Amino acid sequence: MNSTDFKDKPPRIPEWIIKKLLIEREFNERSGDLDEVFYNMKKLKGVKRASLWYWMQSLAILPGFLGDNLYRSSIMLKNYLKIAGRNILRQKGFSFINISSLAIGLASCMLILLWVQDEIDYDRHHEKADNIYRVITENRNVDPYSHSYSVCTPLAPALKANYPEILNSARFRGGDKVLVKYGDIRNFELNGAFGDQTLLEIFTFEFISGEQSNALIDPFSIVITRDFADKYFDNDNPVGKVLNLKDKFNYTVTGVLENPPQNSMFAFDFVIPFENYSRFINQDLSSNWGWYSAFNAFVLVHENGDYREISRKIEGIQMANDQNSNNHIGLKPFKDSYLYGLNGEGAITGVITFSALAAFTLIIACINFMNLSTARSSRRSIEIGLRKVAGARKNHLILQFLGEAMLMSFIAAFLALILCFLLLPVYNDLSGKQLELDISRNIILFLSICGTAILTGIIAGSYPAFYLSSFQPVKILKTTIITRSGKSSSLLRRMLVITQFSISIILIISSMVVYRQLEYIRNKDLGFEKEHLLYVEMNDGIKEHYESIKNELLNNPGVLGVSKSSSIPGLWTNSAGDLDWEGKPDDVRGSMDFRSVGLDYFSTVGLEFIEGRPFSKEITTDMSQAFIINETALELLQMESPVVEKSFRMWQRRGKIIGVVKNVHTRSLHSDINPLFYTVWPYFDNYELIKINSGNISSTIDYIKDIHETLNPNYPFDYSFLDERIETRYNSEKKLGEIFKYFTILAILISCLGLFGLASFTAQRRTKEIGIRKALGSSSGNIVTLISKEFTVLVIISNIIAWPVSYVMMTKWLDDNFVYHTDIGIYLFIIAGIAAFTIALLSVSFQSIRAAMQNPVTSLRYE
Amino acid sequence: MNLLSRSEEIMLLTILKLKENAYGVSIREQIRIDSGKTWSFASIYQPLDKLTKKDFVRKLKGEPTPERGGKRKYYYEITQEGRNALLEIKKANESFWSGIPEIAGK
Repeated sequence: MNSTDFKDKPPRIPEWIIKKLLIEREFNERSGDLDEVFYNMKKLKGVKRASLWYWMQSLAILPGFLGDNLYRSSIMLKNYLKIAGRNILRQKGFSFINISSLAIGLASCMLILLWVQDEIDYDRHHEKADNIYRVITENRNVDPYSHSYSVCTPLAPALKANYPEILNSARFRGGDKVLVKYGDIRNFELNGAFGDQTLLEIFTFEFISGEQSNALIDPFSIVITRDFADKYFDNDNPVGKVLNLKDKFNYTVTGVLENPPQNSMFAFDFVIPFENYSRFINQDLSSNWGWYSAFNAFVLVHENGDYREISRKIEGIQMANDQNSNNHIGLKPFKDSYLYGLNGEGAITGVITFSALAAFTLIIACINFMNLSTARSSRRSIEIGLRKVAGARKNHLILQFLGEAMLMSFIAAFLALILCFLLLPVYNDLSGKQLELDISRNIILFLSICGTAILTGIIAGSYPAFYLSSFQPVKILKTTIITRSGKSSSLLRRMLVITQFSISIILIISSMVVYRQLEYIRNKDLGFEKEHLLYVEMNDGIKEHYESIKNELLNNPGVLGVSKSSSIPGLWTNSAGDLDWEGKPDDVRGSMDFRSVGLDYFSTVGLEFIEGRPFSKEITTDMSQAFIINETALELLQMESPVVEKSFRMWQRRGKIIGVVKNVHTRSLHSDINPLFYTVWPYFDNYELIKINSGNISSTIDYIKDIHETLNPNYPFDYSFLDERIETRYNSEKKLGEIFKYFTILAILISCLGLFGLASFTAQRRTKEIGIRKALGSSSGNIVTLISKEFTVLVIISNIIAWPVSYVMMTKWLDDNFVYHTDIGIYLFIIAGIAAFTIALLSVSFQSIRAAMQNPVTSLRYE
Repeated sequence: MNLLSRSEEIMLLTILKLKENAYGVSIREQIRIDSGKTWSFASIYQPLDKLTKKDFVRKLKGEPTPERGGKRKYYYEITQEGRNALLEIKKANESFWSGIPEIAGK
């Protein structure tokens, strides 16, 4: 036999199995026999038969071995469960704190995860979502280039017609306020939409009745949602019914959709064919390449298409059709468009913030769990010693401790689920979402709960499992309780408490800063009088009767002024490119914000003039050839004073600058005050502004309503207060602040529970010491200080850590999100520090006072 | 004293028959030759373990050989007690069998 015969060794895996299952001596003696038979068989029957035989040998051992082991381990498991149960029950207080704080932590984590999941799932339910892209325009007239989803109406059809890579395209415009009439029912609907038939083909809509394939082909067809149908038609079949829109056009219902999910940009009440938009504003837009409004365009691209390549191809289509434009066209994946906005905004900020919040809450809860488990387990070292003496192997002890921790974390997870379920309605109110907790369908949530429970169990159980189980039984049983609670473990515990409190303090400071910024926004002087200013969205009726309505209104002493504008002051402005002015250098880009206003705008809103005069009824050129600019615009124009009478051009409108007004916040406080000019151009005017007296508001409003309904009887009257409307602009910050506040409270609560538990543990451990101290003449006050001191130091260290961290974090938040923001006062830190300190002291003092009040005789007898 | 079991008896007999060359594989092979049946290793080791415990056989270490994947052979050798036990079971067997007429029948 030569050596090459031994090239094929017995297969590895069965050899490994045999080695694992047999004890070492048996393996050494017997595997040789197996090998010999293997080699013999290989020679006679080939290597395959031999390997097969070897495999069979290894598998033949398994049943007996497993049976034995299962039986034995089931006995042990029963024992472990029993011990774990007893431990939980014996120290009810500890277990309660332990489990409840973890349950609260897990529940808040779950709620936040639900929110995050809802945000991430935004518009992901469309079957073709992967291949849908949004068309974006890049305006290269400004620096840096600005991006928007607004496109002109002919673009989408042109893309489909000219580029074979683009399989389909659709236009969409949503969020329009439309007057709807059916029989006696007459309502303003806030969420009307315009869309092409192709929209129904590209995106996924669930039709309850009607045909998806031709629902929006007829120009006077309308597709409604289930809720909308219920509102107007009760139980009748809506298909075929005729609705009147805008008091002008009749539409026949061709389909009813299942209510679209709330986390979708297509959460409209009804949709009518896109061409109706032209009809609504009385302008033929079908081939107008220069008219941008809130029109969105979507394209469907072939699965293998590369959108970047297609973007490059279609880039110039806008400029080719519109000489004045410097807009480049591109595509952006539809799926990402919600999370990642165009100019660096987007829901992703909220998602990250809240995920971090969830993580923090969970960390705090886990730390409690760890701290209390380790604190408790050091008292169990005698049990460990005894188990070891009785023959428990180290692995068994590790398993036991891990198992116990896991049992508790699963109980907590279960409680958290119930808690979450109970809190969900409140939470939905708070977050303005419609979240559901459906474990059976929400696999990700289910897995993450299980995963978190297991992870928490492992982390919390790992210290007692690995550290304590490695002790030598002799040492454990010999030494006394006090010296046994190792230095390293109490150091670890202290560090964890510091982490916990640092996070809590950071959360306190953060929520205070958010709150302060909201206050700042509310009280910020925008430069004009936003109080007692009503605005009415102008419908065709008001536009028609504007002058007579205005004159009637001014007859009432409660009405101080009436005017109109193209955009809501303090919220947004229109913008215009292609501008020119006297002495404009070539390298300055001619692009500015603009707002068309009524003649009395400046007195109605209360703007101060630095130079020149407001628009005047007497001067006819003011109606079409006059401009008023703000201070920032003055800087941009780089004109020498006096600027009045200098010439200025906007599009085809040539005229003179007649005045300069002080800077006011024409947009939200998120952004800078941009260069802005005002001009009179009634076509753009969309909002009627009414300044009223602060006294007797309700009767004034009744009067205003009366006038509108008499002079404009076809439309219901609808108004808003400007200051309230401006506040809604900051709703997302407000919601952030609210949610942040509640989760901060929860996080602090959990930390306190933990501290309470730890304090009672310390008090218990030092019962004898306290007894001796008291017997030797120490006062109760001294004892309280003794126990509180330890925790006080920890809270102070936490403050030192938390202050700079939260300062950096919140400064960044303010800088990133608001051009105009509050400063972070030093007193916020002091308040947060004192708050944390007080809370910590309160939770500790209960235990320490109880310990201090105890009769030394009882505590000395304590064993 | 208990009598040897059937499998222990077979082990001892096979070990005697194989003289110096009695180890796992050869014992299994010899049993196959004598009885025509292949025993699993487990059914060989089990009686061998028992016999070792009762000191009826002794284990001897051999040298590692390449045909065993570089592992040692463990030879089995019968002890005096083993021989006595074997003699005893032989005597018992003879008296059990004596006086039995024809088994196969007519």
